[in-house]
Amino acid sequence: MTAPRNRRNSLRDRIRSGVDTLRLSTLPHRAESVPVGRHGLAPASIWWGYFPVVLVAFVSVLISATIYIQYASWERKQVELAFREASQDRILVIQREIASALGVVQDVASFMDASESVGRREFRRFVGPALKRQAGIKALQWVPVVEGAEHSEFIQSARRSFPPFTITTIDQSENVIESGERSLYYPVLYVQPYQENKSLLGLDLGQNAVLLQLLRDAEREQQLQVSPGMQFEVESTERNGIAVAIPVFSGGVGIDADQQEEIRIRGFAVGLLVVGDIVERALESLLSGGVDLHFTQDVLPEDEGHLYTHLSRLREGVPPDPENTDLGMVHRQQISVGNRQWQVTTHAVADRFKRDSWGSIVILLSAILISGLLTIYVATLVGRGRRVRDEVEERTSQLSTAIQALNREVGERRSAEMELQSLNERLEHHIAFRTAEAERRAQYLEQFAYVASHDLKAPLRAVSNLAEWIEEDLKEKLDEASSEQLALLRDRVRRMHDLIEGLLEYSRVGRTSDAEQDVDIGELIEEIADSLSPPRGFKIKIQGVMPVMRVDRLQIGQVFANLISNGLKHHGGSKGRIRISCEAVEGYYLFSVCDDGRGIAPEYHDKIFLIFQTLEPSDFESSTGIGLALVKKIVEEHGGTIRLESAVGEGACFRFSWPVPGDTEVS
Amino acid sequence: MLNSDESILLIEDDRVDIMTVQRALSKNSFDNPLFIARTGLEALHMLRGEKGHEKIDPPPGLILLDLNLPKMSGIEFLRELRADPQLSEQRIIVLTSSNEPKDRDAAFQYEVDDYFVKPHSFGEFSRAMATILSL
Repeated sequence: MTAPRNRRNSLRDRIRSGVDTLRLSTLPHRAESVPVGRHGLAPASIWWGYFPVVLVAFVSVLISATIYIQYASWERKQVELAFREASQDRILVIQREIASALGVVQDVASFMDASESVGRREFRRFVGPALKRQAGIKALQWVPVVEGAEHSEFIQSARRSFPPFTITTIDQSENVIESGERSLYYPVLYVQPYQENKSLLGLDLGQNAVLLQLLRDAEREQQLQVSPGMQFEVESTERNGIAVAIPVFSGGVGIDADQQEEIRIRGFAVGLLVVGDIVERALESLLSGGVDLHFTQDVLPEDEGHLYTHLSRLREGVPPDPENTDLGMVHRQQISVGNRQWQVTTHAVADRFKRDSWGSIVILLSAILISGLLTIYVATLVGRGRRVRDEVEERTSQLSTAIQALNREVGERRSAEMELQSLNERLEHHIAFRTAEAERRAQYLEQFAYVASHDLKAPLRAVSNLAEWIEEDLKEKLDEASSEQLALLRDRVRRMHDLIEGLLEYSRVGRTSDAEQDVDIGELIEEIADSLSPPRGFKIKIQGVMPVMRVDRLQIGQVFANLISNGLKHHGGSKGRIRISCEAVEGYYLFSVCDDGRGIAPEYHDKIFLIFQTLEPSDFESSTGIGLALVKKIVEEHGGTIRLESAVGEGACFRFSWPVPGDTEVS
Repeated sequence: MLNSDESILLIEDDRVDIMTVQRALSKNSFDNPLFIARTGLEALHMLRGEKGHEKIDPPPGLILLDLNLPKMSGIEFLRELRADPQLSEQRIIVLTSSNEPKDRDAAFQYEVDDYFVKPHSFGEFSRAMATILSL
């Protein structure tokens, strides 16, 4: 990261230092507009991340609550079921006990029916064991039906076995008095157990409205009838009880069909049953169940029909709190007692039939605990997911930051490159423009030189001709001085002509170019040497091998001609040698033209290549100062260079390089 | 070879150059009639006998033509001449001070018989003239 940044900085510095038109502010700063990392996220999405946790918590709490409610409901049902079963068990046992008690009365009736002559003793013997076996029977009685007419006969008959017998009734002050005369008597003839029921013996039951109704019903229905609830005094306490009467008839269908007798009521087997005792006896056989039982007759209002209330033995004498509804658990059941229907209502004792709340609480707590753990687990998962996501986001943001930095850098570089490119283009354009301008100027200059030279030559020639003609025409008349002056005039005109000619050639270099051709340089030099016709004593020698190269023959010939003639002209001696050599160096031919003349002082080495510069007095013939300038121009036009190596008295060596043309082989 | 009775038409504007030609002719003992036109246009008129000029009849055996001429340059004259069917067969030698390949090429394009650069010295010119006329 650091290396590109440095590079970018250096690039930017370069741009700033070199280009003041580049504005870095134009570079795209996209990073500022792009949200980076999680700081850019909306807060809502953070909470949305915990949505699964909340969902799991909610659902698990819901499930816990449902399980708890279901369990509690199931538990309550179980309790209710247990209670109902307990109630039913108890009621069943009690029904059986009642049936058993009624059975005893039925047994008495059957016994009495079986024989019309049952004596007091026989009655006692028969009934005694039954009484011992069966609790709750206050009294078992034989109540015959006595017509008013048979009243005396009946009393006499009864007094035979029990002398004090008389038919009694109970008056309004509850005293037992002798009964008055009635059309029908229902006296208690036998009663067992006798000791507790002495007062009943002889009592005319027909004078009690309830009992009379009972007996009449029994006679009419010819079967067992049960009285509504009654109060009995048992051991000086009032007890609720019922009276049960079963009619016993005489006559009826005997063994022989023809012994049809009139069916006549004989009497009634009557039992007085104490409801409480029967119930308690029945419940003795069961373990304490925590159930209260209320027995009522199906008469309204209920208070009047109250028969007996059994309080669960679990209460241990503590009566039920009337405010406490004991969980509201109530069981009601109808039971049949003879011809009557009793309503049995059971209440649960709170302690016994209480829900095991711990179970449901444990379940609730477990469910809540599991919910909590699950929630924590999910939260951990979500948290871990968030952390991973955060990390990914952070990495992503780092990456995007890096990418943006990279993009920015790329953008900067690109714009810098574009700037450089446009600069280059401008530079190139500038250069091209300048080059074109320079070329145009050079062309103008050359054109000017050409035209000027041309136009100068004609009048010059005219002057020269005129001078010659004057000299010719006046040959005889001119004195020596005038002749010499005319000669000088023509000489100067001649020199001016040469100057103009040289200028023309100079200006022509680069402007005109002959077609290039393969030139044998050695041959060319020999031709030139011939045409120059060196003075006697001078030799022109080619050393080594000269190349054959594709080149403008005229121009390279001009170079050699000028250099050789320069060497000849300025040699300074009467004899000398000019050596020409060539070597190939790195794509160039390096030609040398050396003489053994007087040499040129180093301070003039640059000067001699300037146009119109000569080192000779101007009188010296045919030195225009153009030759070497022309050589330099030709060489440089063709991409080479020229230099002079010389010292005074040591000769001079012109060395110039000429690029090897692409399609020439060095030989 | 120019017959002695054939005339020469010199087209030249410079008086000294005219004198040079005249002198060279006389120096080489040529006495052919010499007509002189100062411009190309004048020469055309003279050759055609128009615009008040007397027609050169018979046509000159040789035309000496300078290239640098006022009004109508030598090259333009050549073009006109070669375009005229009456005159297109004329023998023409260019006499000029221009040594430029451009001028030389332009002249030879119109099939001049020779191209002659005026030498600087009269002696050379005279010798050259003798050569030309004897060809």
